[in-house]
Amino acid sequence: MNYSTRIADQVRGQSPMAGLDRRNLGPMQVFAQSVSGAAPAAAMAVVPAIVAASAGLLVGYSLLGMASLTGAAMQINALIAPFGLSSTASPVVAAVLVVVLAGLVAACTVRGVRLSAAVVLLVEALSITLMLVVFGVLLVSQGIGVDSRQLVPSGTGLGAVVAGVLPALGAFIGFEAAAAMGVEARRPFRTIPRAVGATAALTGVLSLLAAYTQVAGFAGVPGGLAGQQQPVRALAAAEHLAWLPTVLDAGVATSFLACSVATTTALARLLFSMGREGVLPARLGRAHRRFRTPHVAIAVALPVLAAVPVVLISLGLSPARALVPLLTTAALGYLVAYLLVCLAAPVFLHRIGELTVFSVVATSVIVPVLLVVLVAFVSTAPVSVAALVTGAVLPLVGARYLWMRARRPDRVAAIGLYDETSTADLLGPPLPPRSQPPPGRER
Amino acid sequence: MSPQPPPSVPGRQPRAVRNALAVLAEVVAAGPGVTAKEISAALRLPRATTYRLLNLLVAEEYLVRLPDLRGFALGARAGRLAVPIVPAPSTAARAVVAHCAAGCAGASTWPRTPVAR
Repeated sequence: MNYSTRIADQVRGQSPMAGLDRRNLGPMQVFAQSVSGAAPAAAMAVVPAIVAASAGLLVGYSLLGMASLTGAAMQINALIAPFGLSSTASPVVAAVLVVVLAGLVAACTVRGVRLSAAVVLLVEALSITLMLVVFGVLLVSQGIGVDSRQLVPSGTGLGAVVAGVLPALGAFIGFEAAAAMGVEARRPFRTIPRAVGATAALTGVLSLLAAYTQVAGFAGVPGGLAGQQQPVRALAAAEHLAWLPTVLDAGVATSFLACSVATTTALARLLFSMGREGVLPARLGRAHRRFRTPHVAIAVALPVLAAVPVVLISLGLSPARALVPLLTTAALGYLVAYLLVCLAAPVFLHRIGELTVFSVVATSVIVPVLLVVLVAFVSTAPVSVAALVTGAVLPLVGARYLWMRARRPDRVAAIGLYDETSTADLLGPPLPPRSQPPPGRER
Repeated sequence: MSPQPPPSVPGRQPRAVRNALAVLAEVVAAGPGVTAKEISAALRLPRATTYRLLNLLVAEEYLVRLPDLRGFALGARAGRLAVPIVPAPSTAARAVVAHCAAGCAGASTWPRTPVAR
């Protein structure tokens, strides 16, 4: 058999993910998707506050989507409150904002992946710029000197490190959101690993900058950073920078907004592929013919993403308080997903015959660390929505799996559909060998 | 000529480039569906090196993974490495061309001219 006939029985004409806008997103748009998933600006401002108060990706994406809608509504509410629309940040306005924002996100994500990617890139760039302005101004107003005490580790007990790792991981959660663009990225195997790695680096640098500024700013205050509910506001007030909190609110609002578009995009693609696999109803696996987006998955997911915050707010929780259980549960979902991926990676590599010593070593180092973090996370998390959701999700997923294994073993085997190589990605079949000289050379 | 590499390609890079090209050639020689282990054995390259080269070539889309994820084949981008081949016309078409070249060069009535006289 020659090259072309051998390839014909191994490759289908169409990817099982066909219908999406295949190979059409540049590296910057994919990168922005991941950065927004991690929402570094929101993390820069919010994570310390949460620490003071304080079934995997589906749970993570859904809850992060709800949290970012809530967060965006909360910040926009705070931004418009001084303009007389409502004297105080009212819960009705917050609930209406959640619904309006969900509608905007739906319009963006259904209309086309290029539009939503452009929105995410622009909004995220704006958000990071605003945050850099805030923290830059704070650093300069504190004086140029380097706070050298921060550069030397102190208080490095195991408990202190674990207590620090938890919020730090919270800042990184969602960094893998670019992986959802596997179908749409122009050169996925190059773009996505780079985007995910660069997101981790960028989020790390931004978080360090934020932490350094806040620790240095509160160095002279009794109780330090830990005693503050809204550290950046307090710092701005101390430096007599009345306009700074507004910029901060705008930065966090845009970050949450980009995050809600990015997580909706990722969640919709996850539901879409589960629909194609037959794990969820096949309708979820439909793609819009003109816009080439998973419109059914978006139409199912977004009402839920909007309804949960609205219910929480109407129950009397302020958006800021509603954020805590949502983000905690999201982090829990992501941690479980990351742990499972780490465990599955060497098994997968073994199955395709490419297991190396390095990947085994990496897994055996990362899995215990993630387990410790997960246990610490569960033991410190308040008994609330987190326990409720985990208690509801795990039996549900288990029951669905057992049902499928009994009734549809073929679908269990099909789990793990991905944008596989199709004929369009291959070098065209070579032409049959020419026995005659080319025309025109006969004489 | 000295085999010394020019300074613009320093260190172990010349070997890496050669190995990458050897991996490409091996995929063609062994045919689509060849696995990473088979390539590593055929080229006597360390396995980790082979896997890294294969993943690089997949990232650049010179190679693709087949749907079973074990096997490799040439990707669409590998086509850029060859000069485009014009398909050879059929015998009948070549007869027309030869006829025109021989007898009716410049004839404006070509479509109505009988091909075989």
